[in-house]
Amino acid sequence: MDDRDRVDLSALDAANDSRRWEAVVAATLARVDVVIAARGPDPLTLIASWSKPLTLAALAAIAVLVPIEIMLEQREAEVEKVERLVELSTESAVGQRQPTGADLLRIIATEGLQ
Amino acid sequence: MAQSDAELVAAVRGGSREAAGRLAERYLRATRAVALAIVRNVAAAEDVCQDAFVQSIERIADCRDPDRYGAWLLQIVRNRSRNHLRDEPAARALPLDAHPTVSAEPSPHQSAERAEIRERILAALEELSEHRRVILLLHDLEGWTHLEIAERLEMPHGTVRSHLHYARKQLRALLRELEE
Repeated sequence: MDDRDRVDLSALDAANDSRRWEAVVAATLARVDVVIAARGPDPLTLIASWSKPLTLAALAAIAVLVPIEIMLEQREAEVEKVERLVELSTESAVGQRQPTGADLLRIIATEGLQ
Repeated sequence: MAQSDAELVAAVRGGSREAAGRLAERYLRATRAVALAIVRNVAAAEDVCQDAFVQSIERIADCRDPDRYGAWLLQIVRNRSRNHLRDEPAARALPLDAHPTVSAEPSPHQSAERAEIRERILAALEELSEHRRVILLLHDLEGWTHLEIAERLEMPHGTVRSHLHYARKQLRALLRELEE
Protein backbone atom coordinates (compact mmCIF):
# COMPACT_ATOMS: atom_id res chain seq x y z
CA MET A 1 0.00 0.00 0.00
CA ASP A 2 1.63 3.28 -1.05
CA ASP A 3 1.02 6.56 -2.84
CA ARG A 4 -0.22 4.80 -6.01
CA ASP A 5 -3.33 3.82 -4.06
CA ARG A 6 -3.94 7.37 -2.91
CA VAL A 7 -7.51 8.60 -3.36
CA ASP A 8 -7.73 12.00 -5.04
CA LEU A 9 -9.06 14.25 -2.30
CA SER A 10 -7.69 17.45 -3.83
CA ALA A 11 -11.23 18.89 -3.99
CA LEU A 12 -11.02 19.15 -0.19
CA ASP A 13 -7.59 20.80 -0.18
CA ALA A 14 -7.30 24.08 1.73
CA ALA A 15 -4.98 25.30 -1.03
CA ASN A 16 -7.87 25.32 -3.51
CA ASP A 17 -8.94 28.57 -1.99
CA SER A 18 -5.63 29.95 -0.83
CA ARG A 19 -6.94 33.40 0.06
CA ARG A 20 -9.63 31.92 2.23
CA TRP A 21 -7.11 29.64 3.95
CA GLU A 22 -4.64 32.49 4.44
CA ALA A 23 -7.46 34.43 6.10
CA VAL A 24 -8.11 31.49 8.44
CA VAL A 25 -4.40 31.27 9.32
CA ALA A 26 -4.15 35.04 9.85
CA ALA A 27 -7.26 35.07 12.07
CA THR A 28 -5.89 32.14 14.09
CA LEU A 29 -2.52 33.80 14.60
CA ALA A 30 -4.17 37.08 15.58
CA ARG A 31 -6.12 35.26 18.28
CA VAL A 32 -2.95 33.45 19.39
CA ASP A 33 -1.15 36.79 19.70
CA VAL A 34 -3.88 38.07 22.02
CA VAL A 35 -3.67 34.91 24.15
CA ILE A 36 0.12 35.07 24.48
CA ALA A 37 0.16 38.80 25.17
CA ALA A 38 -2.49 38.41 27.89
CA ARG A 39 -0.92 35.43 29.57
CA GLY A 40 2.78 36.20 29.90
CA PRO A 41 5.26 33.44 30.72
CA ASP A 42 4.25 30.50 32.92
CA PRO A 43 5.61 30.18 36.51
CA LEU A 44 8.28 27.62 35.60
CA THR A 45 9.62 29.85 32.85
CA LEU A 46 9.59 32.79 35.24
CA ILE A 47 11.53 30.84 37.85
CA ALA A 48 13.96 29.71 35.16
CA SER A 49 14.44 33.32 34.09
CA TRP A 50 15.14 34.33 37.70
CA SER A 51 17.66 31.59 38.39
CA LYS A 52 20.52 33.26 36.49
CA PRO A 53 20.27 36.69 38.16
CA LEU A 54 19.76 34.98 41.53
CA THR A 55 22.92 32.89 41.06
CA LEU A 56 24.89 35.97 40.04
CA ALA A 57 23.60 37.90 43.06
CA ALA A 58 24.55 35.02 45.37
CA LEU A 59 28.06 34.88 43.89
CA ALA A 60 28.45 38.65 44.31
CA ALA A 61 27.30 38.41 47.93
CA ILE A 62 29.80 35.63 48.63
CA ALA A 63 32.58 37.66 46.99
CA VAL A 64 31.85 40.60 49.30
CA LEU A 65 30.98 38.75 52.53
CA VAL A 66 33.88 36.29 52.68
CA PRO A 67 36.65 38.98 52.81
CA ILE A 68 34.58 40.93 55.38
CA GLU A 69 34.26 37.82 57.53
CA ILE A 70 38.02 37.18 57.34
CA MET A 71 38.72 40.81 58.22
CA LEU A 72 36.34 40.69 61.21
CA GLU A 73 37.96 37.49 62.48
CA GLN A 74 41.39 39.13 62.32
CA ARG A 75 40.08 42.19 64.14
CA GLU A 76 38.55 39.97 66.83
CA ALA A 77 41.92 38.31 67.40
CA GLU A 78 43.56 41.73 67.72
CA VAL A 79 40.95 42.84 70.28
CA GLU A 80 41.47 39.66 72.27
CA LYS A 81 45.22 40.27 72.30
CA VAL A 82 44.74 43.81 73.58
CA GLU A 83 42.32 42.54 76.25
CA ARG A 84 44.92 40.01 77.45
CA LEU A 85 47.58 42.72 77.58
CA VAL A 86 45.24 44.89 79.63
CA GLU A 87 44.54 41.93 81.89
CA LEU A 88 48.26 41.27 82.30
CA SER A 89 48.93 44.96 83.06
CA THR A 90 46.15 44.97 85.66
CA GLU A 91 47.50 41.79 87.29
CA SER A 92 50.98 43.31 87.32
CA ALA A 93 49.77 46.58 88.88
CA VAL A 94 47.76 44.75 91.54
CA GLY A 95 50.51 42.24 92.32
CA GLN A 96 53.23 44.87 91.91
CA ARG A 97 55.08 42.56 89.59
CA GLN A 98 56.66 43.56 86.26
CA PRO A 99 55.48 41.37 83.32
CA THR A 100 58.34 39.31 81.97
CA GLY A 101 59.26 39.05 78.29
CA ALA A 102 57.99 35.46 78.39
CA ASP A 103 54.53 36.70 79.58
CA LEU A 104 54.35 39.19 76.71
CA LEU A 105 55.47 36.60 74.17
CA ARG A 106 52.84 34.13 75.43
CA ILE A 107 50.07 36.70 74.88
CA ILE A 108 51.30 37.62 71.40
CA ALA A 109 51.77 33.93 70.50
CA THR A 110 48.20 33.03 71.50
CA GLU A 111 47.01 35.02 68.47
CA GLY A 112 48.37 32.30 66.22
CA LEU A 113 46.62 29.62 68.25
CA GLN A 114 43.17 31.24 67.95
CA MET B 1 17.42 21.89 11.72
CA ALA B 2 13.71 22.17 12.49
CA GLN B 3 12.86 22.70 16.13
CA SER B 4 11.11 19.82 17.86
CA ASP B 5 7.55 20.13 19.12
CA ALA B 6 8.90 20.12 22.68
CA GLU B 7 11.22 23.06 21.93
CA LEU B 8 8.40 25.02 20.30
CA VAL B 9 6.02 24.29 23.18
CA ALA B 10 8.68 25.47 25.66
CA ALA B 11 9.14 28.66 23.65
CA VAL B 12 5.38 29.28 23.53
CA ARG B 13 5.25 28.82 27.31
CA GLY B 14 7.95 31.46 27.51
CA GLY B 15 5.76 33.83 25.50
CA SER B 16 7.11 33.32 21.96
CA ARG B 17 4.59 34.23 19.27
CA GLU B 18 7.01 33.05 16.61
CA ALA B 19 7.04 29.54 18.10
CA ALA B 20 3.23 29.53 18.09
CA GLY B 21 3.36 30.50 14.42
CA ARG B 22 5.69 27.56 13.72
CA LEU B 23 3.29 25.17 15.45
CA ALA B 24 0.47 26.60 13.33
CA GLU B 25 2.52 26.06 10.17
CA ARG B 26 3.18 22.49 11.25
CA TYR B 27 -0.29 21.51 12.40
CA LEU B 28 -3.05 23.87 11.30
CA ARG B 29 -3.75 22.13 7.98
CA ALA B 30 -3.85 18.72 9.65
CA THR B 31 -6.12 20.20 12.30
CA ARG B 32 -8.47 21.33 9.53
CA ALA B 33 -8.33 17.88 7.92
CA VAL B 34 -9.27 16.14 11.17
CA ALA B 35 -12.09 18.61 11.81
CA LEU B 36 -13.31 18.20 8.23
CA ALA B 37 -13.25 14.41 8.59
CA ILE B 38 -15.54 14.68 11.59
CA VAL B 39 -17.85 17.64 10.86
CA ARG B 40 -17.85 17.15 7.04
CA ASN B 41 -18.38 20.83 6.39
CA VAL B 42 -15.55 23.10 5.22
CA ALA B 43 -16.61 26.32 6.97
CA ALA B 44 -17.39 24.52 10.23
CA ALA B 45 -14.09 22.62 10.01
CA GLU B 46 -12.20 25.90 9.61
CA ASP B 47 -13.94 27.35 12.66
CA VAL B 48 -13.26 24.25 14.71
CA CYS B 49 -9.60 24.05 13.68
CA GLN B 50 -9.09 27.70 14.55
CA ASP B 51 -10.77 27.33 17.95
CA ALA B 52 -8.89 24.12 18.71
CA PHE B 53 -5.51 25.58 17.87
CA VAL B 54 -6.14 28.73 19.93
CA GLN B 55 -7.33 26.53 22.82
CA SER B 56 -4.11 24.52 22.63
CA ILE B 57 -2.11 27.73 23.02
CA GLU B 58 -4.34 28.99 25.83
CA ARG B 59 -3.85 25.71 27.69
CA ILE B 60 -0.27 25.02 26.66
CA ALA B 61 0.70 24.62 30.33
CA ASP B 62 -1.60 21.56 30.46
CA CYS B 63 0.32 19.78 27.69
CA ARG B 64 2.00 17.19 29.90
CA ASP B 65 4.25 15.75 27.23
CA PRO B 66 5.42 18.56 24.93
CA ASP B 67 7.03 16.03 22.60
CA ARG B 68 3.51 14.79 21.90
CA TYR B 69 1.96 18.19 21.30
CA GLY B 70 0.63 17.00 17.92
CA ALA B 71 -1.29 14.10 19.48
CA TRP B 72 -2.60 16.39 22.21
CA LEU B 73 -3.75 19.01 19.67
CA LEU B 74 -5.49 16.41 17.50
CA GLN B 75 -7.33 15.13 20.57
CA ILE B 76 -8.56 18.69 21.24
CA VAL B 77 -9.71 18.96 17.61
CA ARG B 78 -11.58 15.67 17.76
CA ASN B 79 -13.32 16.67 20.98
CA ARG B 80 -14.27 20.09 19.65
CA SER B 81 -15.50 18.59 16.38
CA ARG B 82 -17.73 16.13 18.24
CA ASN B 83 -19.01 18.95 20.43
CA HIS B 84 -19.75 20.97 17.31
CA LEU B 85 -21.81 18.11 15.87
CA ARG B 86 -23.64 17.71 19.16
CA ASP B 87 -24.33 21.42 19.63
CA GLU B 88 -25.00 22.39 16.02
CA PRO B 89 -26.34 19.33 14.19
CA ALA B 90 -27.91 21.55 11.52
CA ALA B 91 -24.46 22.71 10.39
CA ARG B 92 -23.86 19.31 8.78
CA ALA B 93 -26.80 19.77 6.46
CA LEU B 94 -25.56 23.10 5.08
CA PRO B 95 -24.29 22.81 1.54
CA LEU B 96 -20.80 24.11 0.90
CA ASP B 97 -22.16 26.87 -1.31
CA ALA B 98 -23.84 28.31 1.74
CA HIS B 99 -20.38 29.48 2.79
CA PRO B 100 -19.19 31.74 -0.03
CA THR B 101 -15.43 31.94 -0.36
CA VAL B 102 -13.45 35.15 -0.46
CA SER B 103 -11.24 33.94 -3.29
CA ALA B 104 -11.89 34.86 -6.89
CA GLU B 105 -9.12 32.63 -8.30
CA PRO B 106 -11.09 29.84 -10.08
CA SER B 107 -13.74 30.60 -12.66
CA PRO B 108 -17.41 30.18 -11.64
CA HIS B 109 -17.58 27.03 -13.73
CA GLN B 110 -14.47 25.55 -12.08
CA SER B 111 -15.76 26.51 -8.65
CA ALA B 112 -19.09 24.86 -9.32
CA GLU B 113 -17.43 21.71 -10.60
CA ARG B 114 -15.04 21.56 -7.65
CA ALA B 115 -17.89 22.18 -5.22
CA GLU B 116 -19.80 19.28 -6.77
CA ILE B 117 -16.85 16.91 -6.42
CA ARG B 118 -16.33 18.10 -2.88
CA GLU B 119 -19.98 17.48 -2.05
CA ARG B 120 -19.74 14.00 -3.50
CA ILE B 121 -16.61 13.13 -1.53
CA LEU B 122 -18.07 14.52 1.69
CA ALA B 123 -21.29 12.59 1.13
CA ALA B 124 -19.32 9.38 0.58
CA LEU B 125 -17.20 10.07 3.67
CA GLU B 126 -20.42 10.06 5.74
CA GLU B 127 -20.50 6.29 5.32
CA LEU B 128 -17.03 5.70 6.76
CA SER B 129 -16.23 5.41 10.45
CA GLU B 130 -14.66 8.45 12.13
CA HIS B 131 -11.26 6.71 12.49
CA ARG B 132 -11.20 5.83 8.80
CA ARG B 133 -12.17 9.32 7.70
CA VAL B 134 -9.52 10.95 9.87
CA ILE B 135 -6.77 8.56 8.76
CA LEU B 136 -7.76 8.86 5.10
CA LEU B 137 -7.69 12.67 5.13
CA LEU B 138 -4.43 12.89 7.08
CA HIS B 139 -2.74 10.47 4.67
CA ASP B 140 -4.24 11.15 1.28
CA LEU B 141 -5.04 14.85 1.71
CA GLU B 142 -2.28 16.08 4.04
CA GLY B 143 0.41 13.60 3.06
CA TRP B 144 1.22 12.38 6.57
CA THR B 145 3.00 9.02 6.78
CA HIS B 146 1.53 5.97 8.50
CA LEU B 147 4.03 6.46 11.30
CA GLU B 148 3.13 10.12 11.84
CA ILE B 149 -0.55 9.24 11.91
CA ALA B 150 0.03 6.33 14.30
CA GLU B 151 2.01 8.53 16.69
CA ARG B 152 -0.41 11.43 16.64
CA LEU B 153 -3.60 9.41 16.82
CA GLU B 154 -1.95 7.15 19.38
CA MET B 155 -2.82 3.90 17.66
CA PRO B 156 -0.73 0.98 16.40
CA HIS B 157 0.99 1.37 13.05
CA GLY B 158 -0.71 -1.75 11.68
CA THR B 159 -4.13 -0.45 12.65
CA VAL B 160 -3.49 2.77 10.72
CA ARG B 161 -2.48 0.79 7.61
CA SER B 162 -5.52 -1.42 7.90
CA HIS B 163 -7.93 1.49 8.42
CA LEU B 164 -6.40 3.33 5.46
CA HIS B 165 -6.72 0.29 3.21
CA TYR B 166 -10.38 -0.25 4.03
CA ALA B 167 -11.17 3.47 3.97
CA ARG B 168 -9.84 3.79 0.41
CA LYS B 169 -11.64 0.68 -0.74
CA GLN B 170 -14.92 1.80 0.82
CA LEU B 171 -14.65 5.38 -0.44
CA ARG B 172 -13.88 4.30 -4.01
CA ALA B 173 -16.89 2.00 -4.03
CA LEU B 174 -19.12 4.74 -2.62
CA LEU B 175 -17.88 7.31 -5.14
CA ARG B 176 -18.58 4.86 -7.98
CA GLU B 177 -22.09 4.37 -6.65
CA LEU B 178 -22.63 8.13 -6.43
CA GLU B 179 -21.40 8.65 -9.99
CA GLU B 180 -23.77 6.03 -11.43
